Amino acid sequence: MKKILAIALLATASSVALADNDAGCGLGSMVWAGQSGIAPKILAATTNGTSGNQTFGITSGTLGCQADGVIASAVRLNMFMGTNSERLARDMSAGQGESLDVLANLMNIKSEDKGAFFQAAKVNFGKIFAPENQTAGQVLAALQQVMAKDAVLSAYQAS
Amino acid sequence: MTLYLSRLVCAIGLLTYSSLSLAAPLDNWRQQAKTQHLDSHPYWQILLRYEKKQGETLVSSVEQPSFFVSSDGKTNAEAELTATLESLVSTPPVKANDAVACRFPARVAWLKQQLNITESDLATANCPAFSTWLKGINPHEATLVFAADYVNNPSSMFGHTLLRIDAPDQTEETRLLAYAVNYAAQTNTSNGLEFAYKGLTGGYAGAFSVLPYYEKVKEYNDFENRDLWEYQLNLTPDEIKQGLAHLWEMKGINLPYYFLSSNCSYQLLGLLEAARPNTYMRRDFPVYAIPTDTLRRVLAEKNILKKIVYRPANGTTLAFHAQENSPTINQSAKQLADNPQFSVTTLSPTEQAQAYEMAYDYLYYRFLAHEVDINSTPAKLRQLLVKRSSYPAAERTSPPRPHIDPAQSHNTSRFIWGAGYGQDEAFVSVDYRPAYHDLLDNDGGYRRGAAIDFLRVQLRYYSESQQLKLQRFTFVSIDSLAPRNDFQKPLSWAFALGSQQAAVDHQGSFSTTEQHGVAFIDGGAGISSKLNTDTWLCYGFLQGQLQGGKHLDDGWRVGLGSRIGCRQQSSVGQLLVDVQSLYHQDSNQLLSTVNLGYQWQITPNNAIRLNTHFEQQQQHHWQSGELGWVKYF
Repeated sequence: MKKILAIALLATASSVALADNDAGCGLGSMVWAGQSGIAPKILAATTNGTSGNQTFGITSGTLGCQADGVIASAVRLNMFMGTNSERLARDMSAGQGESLDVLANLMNIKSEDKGAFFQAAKVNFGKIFAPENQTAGQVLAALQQVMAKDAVLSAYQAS
Repeated sequence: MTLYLSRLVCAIGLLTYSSLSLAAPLDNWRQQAKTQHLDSHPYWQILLRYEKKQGETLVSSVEQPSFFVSSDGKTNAEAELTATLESLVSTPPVKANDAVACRFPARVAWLKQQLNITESDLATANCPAFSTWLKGINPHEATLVFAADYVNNPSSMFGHTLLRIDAPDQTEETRLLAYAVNYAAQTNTSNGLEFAYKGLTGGYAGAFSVLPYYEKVKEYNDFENRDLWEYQLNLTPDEIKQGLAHLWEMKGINLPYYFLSSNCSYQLLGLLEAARPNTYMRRDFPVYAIPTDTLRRVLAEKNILKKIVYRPANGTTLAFHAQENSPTINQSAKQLADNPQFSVTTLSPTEQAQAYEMAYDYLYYRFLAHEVDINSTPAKLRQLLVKRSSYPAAERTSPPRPHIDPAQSHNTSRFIWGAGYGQDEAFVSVDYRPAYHDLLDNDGGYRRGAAIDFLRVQLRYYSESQQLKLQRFTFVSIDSLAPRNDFQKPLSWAFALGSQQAAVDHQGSFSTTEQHGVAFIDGGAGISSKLNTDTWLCYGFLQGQLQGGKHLDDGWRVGLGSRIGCRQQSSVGQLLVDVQSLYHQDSNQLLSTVNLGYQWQITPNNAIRLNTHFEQQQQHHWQSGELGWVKYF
C-alpha cells in the first residue's frame, strides 16, 4: 500500500501528460475526461459487436499493467481507479454504491470496517476530489491521506 | 552459462528419453485415434473450426498458419491430429510457452482425455504465460451478458452478447472485477456506410478479446446508455476452464466477421461448445444469428440458468428518476445542473440531496453525449457532488427490473396467416419476416418504441379475381421512437424502403377500383412522448415519401406532410393508430392514410392481429381490413 501511495504521489508531482506512464497503470487517467478518442455517436455505430482497438488485451492498459487482457495483481486497484473515477465519485458523495464496494474490496477493507470507509469517503469528499486532484492517481493519494488520519482506517495504510 | 549448459543437457536427456521409450505409446495413440475417428469428431471440428465445406471435406475457417501444428492443418484434420500427438512426445522448445501443449491447451486436454494419456507419457511443457493468465482470471462461474440496443442506433438494434468469467471469491458487489470475453470485428472506421457494407459482406476480421468487465459496463451502461442483462450460467469450473483453454488458442486468431451470421453471438456459442463438449448450438443458426435468439438457445440447455441480474443503463436510471421525483426536485435539479450554486433551501434536506444527485446524473449524461461544454462541465460535476456529500448517506433507488427479460421476449421470425377484405373483395394473406420487431408486436424484452423489420413479404390472394398480389415488400423499416422527458430530449425518426400496392389507376390518379405496385422510400423525424403514462407512446413526425412506378403520372411522385400516432402496450395486447397526411405534388392533393391495428397476445409467441387500413384523397377512398394468426418462431 505504501508503494502505491508513493507511486501515486510521484504521479501527482509529475505533469499530467507524463502521469500515464508504466508506473501509473491507469492512475494517469483524468477524472471526468469524458470519452476521448472516438466520438460517442461513432462509437455507437461501431460497438454492436464491433470495436476498434480491442485486441486480446485492453485498450487503456500500458506495458506491464496487463498480459493478454488480465490485469497484473499489483495494479488492479490502480486500473480500477483509472477507469471508474466518475462512478466512484458519484458513490462516495452518497456514501454507498457498487463501485465503492469494489474499491473497498480492492483495498482489502474488512467488512466490519466498510461502514467507516464509506463514511470517511463521503465526509472527506471535498478533500478527495479537491479541484487540484485531476487524475485518478491524485484522487487515490488524497483518499489514502484521509484514511491515514482515520482511527479505524489508518490500520490499512500499513498493509 | 552454467544454467544454459544444464538446460542443454536436460534437453538432450529428454530427447533420448522420448525417442527410446515414448515411441511405443505414440503408435498406440495414433492407432487408437484412428479407430475412434477422432479426426472427424465434432469436438475436434469445433476446436479447429473445421466448418467450411470444400468439396467433400471440411476445412478450417481460420487462415493463419499459427493456428495449426501441421502445415496441412487448415485442410487436413487427420494430419493436424497426428502432428499434435507427435508434438506431445517430442522435445519441447527450449523457450517457455512455445510448446504445442502451451499454445493449444484445449486440444491437448481433450486428446489426453480421449486417449487416456497420462502425464508421465508426455514431454514436459513449460507454460507460464497460460497458467498466469488462467490464474489471473481465476475462473469459477460464467455469465452470459446481453447488452440491449442503443436508442436511435439501428446498427445496435439487435443487441450484443458477451461472456463474463466470474471468480470464486466474487459476490454480487464485486462482479465488476470479473473478466469479460468479447468477440468483435476489428475496425476503427467512423464511416457508418463503410461499416455497414463491410460488416455485412465479411470485410472485417473478427477476434476475441479479454478485458475487465468494468470496462464493458462503463462502455455500455454509461457511454452508450444500454441496459445489461446478466444470465448466470450453470457451467462447471472444469467446463469454463476448458472454454478458456480454447479461448487461449484463439489468441491473435482472426475469423471472418459477418454482422448477420458469424457475429459476436455466434462466436460466443462456439466458445460455449468448446467449454461443454457434446453441445451443438451454432448449427441452429445456419443463416443468421440474432443475439436474443442465441441467448434463448443457450438457455434452452437443461438446467443452465442460475440467476438473472439486470443492470440498468445511466439513461434508464435518469428516465426512472425523472418520473419518480417530484416536479420541484426535477426543476431544482435542472437549475443546479446549470449553476451548482443555485439555492435549494425551499426543499427538505432529503429532497436537496436528491436534487443534487439528479443534477449530477443529468449533467453527466449530457456531458457524455457532448451536449455541454467539455471544459467547464467537469468542475461543475465536481461541485455538485461536493454539495451532495454534505447530506447523510442514502441508498440510491434503481429502476425495477422489467417483468419480461430479453430471453423471454417474442421470437424474431414471424408468420401471419390471415384473411380479409380489400375494397369489398375477399382475400387470404400470408405475411413473413425473418426479423425483428414491429410496433404491433409485444415489446416485452425489447426497447419500447424501437421497431425494425427486415425483408418482410406480405402476399394476398384475391379469390374473386384470382389474383396473387405482393401487397408489400419491406426491405427495411425502422421506427425509432425515443420518448422525451424533462431531462432527455432525443429525436425520433423513421425510415422505410420497399414496394407496396398504391390505390392508383393507369394515369396515376387515386383509384377506388385498382391498385398497382410502387417502390417507395419513406422517412420522417419528430418527437415522441410517453405522456406521463406507463403504457402509451405517442409520436409526431414531419414525414416525406418518394414513390416510383410505371403507373404514376411521371413515373414518380413526392409527398410531404405529417405523421402522427399512438401505441399502447397493455397486459393483453398492443394497439397502434397511425395517421399520415401527405401533400402530393402530382395531384396537388392531400393523401391521407389511417392504419389502425390491434394484436391480442395469447402466448409470447402466438397472437391474433386485426389490421384496418384506410386511404383517402378528396371524396375517394380505399379501405381494407384483415384478421390473422400471428406465429413467432
